[in-house]
Amino acid sequence: MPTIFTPRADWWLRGIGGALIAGLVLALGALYYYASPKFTRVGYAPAQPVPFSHSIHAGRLGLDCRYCHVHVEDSPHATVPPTQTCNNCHTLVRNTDPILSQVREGWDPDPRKADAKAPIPWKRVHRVPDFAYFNHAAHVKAGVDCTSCHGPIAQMDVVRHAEPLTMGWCLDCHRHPVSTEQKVNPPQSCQGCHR
Amino acid sequence: MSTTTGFAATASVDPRKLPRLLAGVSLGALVLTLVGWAISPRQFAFSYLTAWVFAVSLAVGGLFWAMLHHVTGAVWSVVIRRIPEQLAFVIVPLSLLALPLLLNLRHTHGWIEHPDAVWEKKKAYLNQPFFIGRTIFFLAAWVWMAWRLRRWSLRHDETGDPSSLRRMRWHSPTGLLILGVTTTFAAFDWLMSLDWHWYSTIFGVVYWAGAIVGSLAVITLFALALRATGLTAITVEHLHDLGKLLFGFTIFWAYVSFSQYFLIWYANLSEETPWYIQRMTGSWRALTLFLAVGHFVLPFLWLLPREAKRTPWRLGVAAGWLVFMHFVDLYWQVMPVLHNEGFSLSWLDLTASVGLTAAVFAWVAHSLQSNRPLPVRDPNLAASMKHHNE
Amino acid sequence: MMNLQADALTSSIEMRTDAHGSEGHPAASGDYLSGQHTLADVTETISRMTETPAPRWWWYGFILSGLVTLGGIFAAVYLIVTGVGVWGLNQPVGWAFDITNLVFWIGIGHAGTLISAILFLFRQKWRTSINRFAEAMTLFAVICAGIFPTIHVGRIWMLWFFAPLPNDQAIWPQFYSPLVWDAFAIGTYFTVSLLFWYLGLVPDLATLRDRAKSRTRQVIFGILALGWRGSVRHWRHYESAYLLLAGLATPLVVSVHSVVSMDFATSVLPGWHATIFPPYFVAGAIFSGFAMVLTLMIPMRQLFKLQDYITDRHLDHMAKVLLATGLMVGYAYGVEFFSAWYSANETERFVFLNRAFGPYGWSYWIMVSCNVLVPQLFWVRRFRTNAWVLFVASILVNVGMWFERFVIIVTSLHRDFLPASWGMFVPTWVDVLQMVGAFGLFFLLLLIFVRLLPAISIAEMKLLLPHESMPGQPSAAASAAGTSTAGGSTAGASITSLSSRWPEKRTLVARFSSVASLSEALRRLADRGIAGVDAYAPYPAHELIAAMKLRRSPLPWFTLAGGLFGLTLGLLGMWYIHGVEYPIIVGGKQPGTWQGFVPVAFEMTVLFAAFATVGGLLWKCGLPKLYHPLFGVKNFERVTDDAFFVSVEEADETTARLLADAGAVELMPVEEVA
Repeated sequence: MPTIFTPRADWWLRGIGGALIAGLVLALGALYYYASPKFTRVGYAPAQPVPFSHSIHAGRLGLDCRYCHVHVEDSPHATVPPTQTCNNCHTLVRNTDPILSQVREGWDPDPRKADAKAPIPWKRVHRVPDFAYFNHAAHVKAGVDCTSCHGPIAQMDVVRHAEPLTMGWCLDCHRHPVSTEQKVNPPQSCQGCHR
Repeated sequence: MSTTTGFAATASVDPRKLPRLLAGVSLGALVLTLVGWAISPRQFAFSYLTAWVFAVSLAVGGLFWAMLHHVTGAVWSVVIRRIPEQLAFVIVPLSLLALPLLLNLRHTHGWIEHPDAVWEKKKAYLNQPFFIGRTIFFLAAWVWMAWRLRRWSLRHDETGDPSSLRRMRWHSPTGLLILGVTTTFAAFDWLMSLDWHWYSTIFGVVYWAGAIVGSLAVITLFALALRATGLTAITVEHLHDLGKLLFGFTIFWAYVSFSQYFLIWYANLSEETPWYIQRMTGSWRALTLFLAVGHFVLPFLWLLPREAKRTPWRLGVAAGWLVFMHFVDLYWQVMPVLHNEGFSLSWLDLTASVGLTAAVFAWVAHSLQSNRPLPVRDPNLAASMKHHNE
Repeated sequence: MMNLQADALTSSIEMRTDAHGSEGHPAASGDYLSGQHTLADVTETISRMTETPAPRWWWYGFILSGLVTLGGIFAAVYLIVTGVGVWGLNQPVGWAFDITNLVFWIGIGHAGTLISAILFLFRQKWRTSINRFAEAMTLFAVICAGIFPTIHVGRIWMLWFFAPLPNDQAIWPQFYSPLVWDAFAIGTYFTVSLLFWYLGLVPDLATLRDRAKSRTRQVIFGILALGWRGSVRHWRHYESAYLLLAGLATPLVVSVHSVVSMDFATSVLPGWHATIFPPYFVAGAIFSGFAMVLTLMIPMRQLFKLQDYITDRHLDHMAKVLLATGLMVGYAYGVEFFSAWYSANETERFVFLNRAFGPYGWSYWIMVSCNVLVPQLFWVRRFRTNAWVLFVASILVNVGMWFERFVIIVTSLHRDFLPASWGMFVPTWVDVLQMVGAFGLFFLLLLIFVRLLPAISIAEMKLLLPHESMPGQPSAAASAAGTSTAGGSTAGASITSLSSRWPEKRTLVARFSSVASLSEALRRLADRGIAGVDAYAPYPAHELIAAMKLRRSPLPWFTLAGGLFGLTLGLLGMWYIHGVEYPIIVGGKQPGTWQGFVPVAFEMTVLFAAFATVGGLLWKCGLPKLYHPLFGVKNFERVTDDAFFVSVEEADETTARLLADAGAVELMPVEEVA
């Protein structure tokens, strides 16, 4: 009787089997790497409608973060400043520079007409999902520095997503809080954040 | 056949004297126990209850194995069939020995002297006349079944009349059914209602499982003894099967016992946990650990290798140990009710258990000597002797 | 095993021995295989079911169950895109049809492994004709069961959360949750059942490979059969592995339904929390599983004309199992009811009275009459062997067992502790379609299975053949007998023709027509101390293993090592997750308490023990090995049918003569195949 397979068949079988296993391991590894927010989120740095540079304002000029993000200490939201805040200075500084044209056009000096103008469509960089409750005030008051979550923002010309902001990343800090100023006891239960 | 029916005098103690020796030990221990009744009736009541429930469980288990043999139509076990039949028949003297237990119910079963609101709701079931009536009924049912089975079996030796075999086969399934239900309620009555607030639906099965393991261990011991005294019909293959069953039913005991503990632990209900909390605190905790290790972990590891089941002394050690552990199991169920402050061994525990256990062994040994140890006319005997594990 | 003609122990002992085995009944062996059969005949009958064109009834069944399956798929997709609200679930009744069906199907899935493993351990020969089919049924039932919890979670893409994988959320399965135990228990059960089933299939796949006419079938079955060549050295490991897997599967079966019962029993809900639940569920599962086997076997043996293979005695035994497990289930109903009263707990008492006499009382009485009353028929032998009675009763039992789960789940939930939250459950059309769809899928998979693979184990059936009819063909047996006595007949002639082209030592292959002549040859070879001998047979004939004087297989050590590895991995993993990485207090239990780890630790032990056993088997046998020079030997394809071979490496002429004298039908050197 002629054999069904040649001696090479076993070589092929093991080769294909090995390749499948290797492929599966590689695919899983790739999934772990490429599907993680460490890859998908970190490094996100969209061009903003106005090329606002944190490195000039917060770094070189030394503006306090709270000059623009006024409610970061008393509200869940840090608040993106209104165009008015820009114009506090830019009516006087570089008030003809073409790159600031949107800042001038989106603002009316008459406060009664402020709502008539559309705000500058800033692109959101950091985002926490709806099912996770995040409060800026609670964190800032507990002594968490802005850079802990946002990275070295004072050196960024374009704001870049520096940290993964995953649940595991949150829990790292919640489990091992480092605070020099006060005793903190961050929640670790589910309903601490998923309210 | 005549050369193998009796005991050959190969053991160091003349096997023919063994029943008498055991009976003497039993009598002595029981007399001492009776003295204890006069000295401390409460301790006596509990010690006697433990010992008696232990001895009865061996007989009930014997009945189970004898009937299971017929229900499954097993062939390999024909050579050892006589042992469970004789073991089951121990229920006859044990039924008479229930009297001290029934006379002392007020000591053991607290609901008689300390009725409370919980008992009020159960009194239709938990009252002394009904309790005693049930005990008599259970014992009567078992005596009736064990007696019939033994009579048919022995008669078959004489006549070879196939109708005896047919009867055994025919009555065993219903017998097992009756046995299952009566044993469950017997366990509820004698053991579970010691703490009448507590209840567990699996309790009957736990008692069953213990009785099955304990009686199988006794059967194994007798099989080894018969073999050692020259009954060559019992081969290593039969020992192997007995070992496998012992191994399997030890696991079964662990399974049902753990199920009971685990579900009560998990649900954490205040009406269920006290039973375990009492046994898991203080010096009782040590006995609980000993029970878990001794009744499951050690026999499991010991019996796991194939050779352990095929080497007589190794199997014998396991069987003897499991008989002891079965007693520890029942002791652990009963005694915390009396000594809720902690583990405390009384001399009455020893005399009562030695007295009744020696009586059981003496009875079975005597019965095996005065009757044929093999069902000589069983049509499957030859096949059974040739039995071989693949 | 072979010759049980007992050597006249005493003449007074009436002897009726089982010609084939030392166990079972004092009746003839033909009871589990009636009629006259030969090895070739068994191969032919069983293989034919997969080789001939599908009969008409098969197509009707296929189309019907395919359509029903499509309905189920539609219901599932509709639920996934819409939400779980399309089912009738509501606030007090959060589990209803879905979990009822899950438990029902898991229960059905128990008979397969029970028949295969437990009956194998108890050496019940009657399992042989039904085990393959029952194992396939197990796998398909577990697949059907898996549908319901999968879609019940709503977001099925989140299912991987059940697996303990490190992830960016830094969250882990909660190992004190019975639902996680379920995932592990059912996953392990499916995996081990699949391995067990496949292992049993390997020799039969080789049979199909060797019978295949088309190249496609040859290649597909060739790969699936892993290059099985019936070597006795392999059979020895194979049997050991089979026994070990049976030993692993037995506690596994018990654990799976125990774990399922703990989904209910670990709660504090009256009607759910009962310590008897684990053994009670196991008994119920066996009960319903056997009923389903009967429901399927009875029509199948008619349609495929398998009455010789699935005899009335099989039916009789299965009916007895139904009766026994039915009584156990009845016992549990009774004890539960008594305990509810005895508990003196008002809610307990209420729940049980409500079960029997409340708004769902009708379902309780359906359950009791189908599960407890119907099996009482089987006290009567006439009903046990009547296929029609059994068929109807088996369906009723499954109806009853479905309602048992419905009663436990719905009646316990619909009356909450707070009368204000009492409610009723009414199924929606999606509930019903999903349930019916699962039945469609089940039957669809079974129909495909019986067409593609041997529904009865061919190799194992051959073990049931009485020894007298062992020789493959009567003429060969006669000639073999002739050579062994006279010496110089047909086989002797082939030696002379052979010796002319027999210059140096080469591998020699000889064909034998019966296991008796082959074992004689092997004994002679072993006596001469000739090395490099292997024998090949269509079934695991123990006399061959004995004749080759092979040592016991070392596979138990693989199993032990695998089990210990799994246990350690499970315990360390759970201890790390719950003790170190993610300590969390659940239900008032301390983080890291050992009790909650027991179920998963057990499943991990069994899982890795099974992996190690199968891995060890493949390693010890050197499989898969698709190419082997033996496959080129003339007639070697019959080794999976009715022929027996022996191969001797570096054989000289004396060896060749020895084989011829022992009764070889054919002698040939191994051809070199390029």
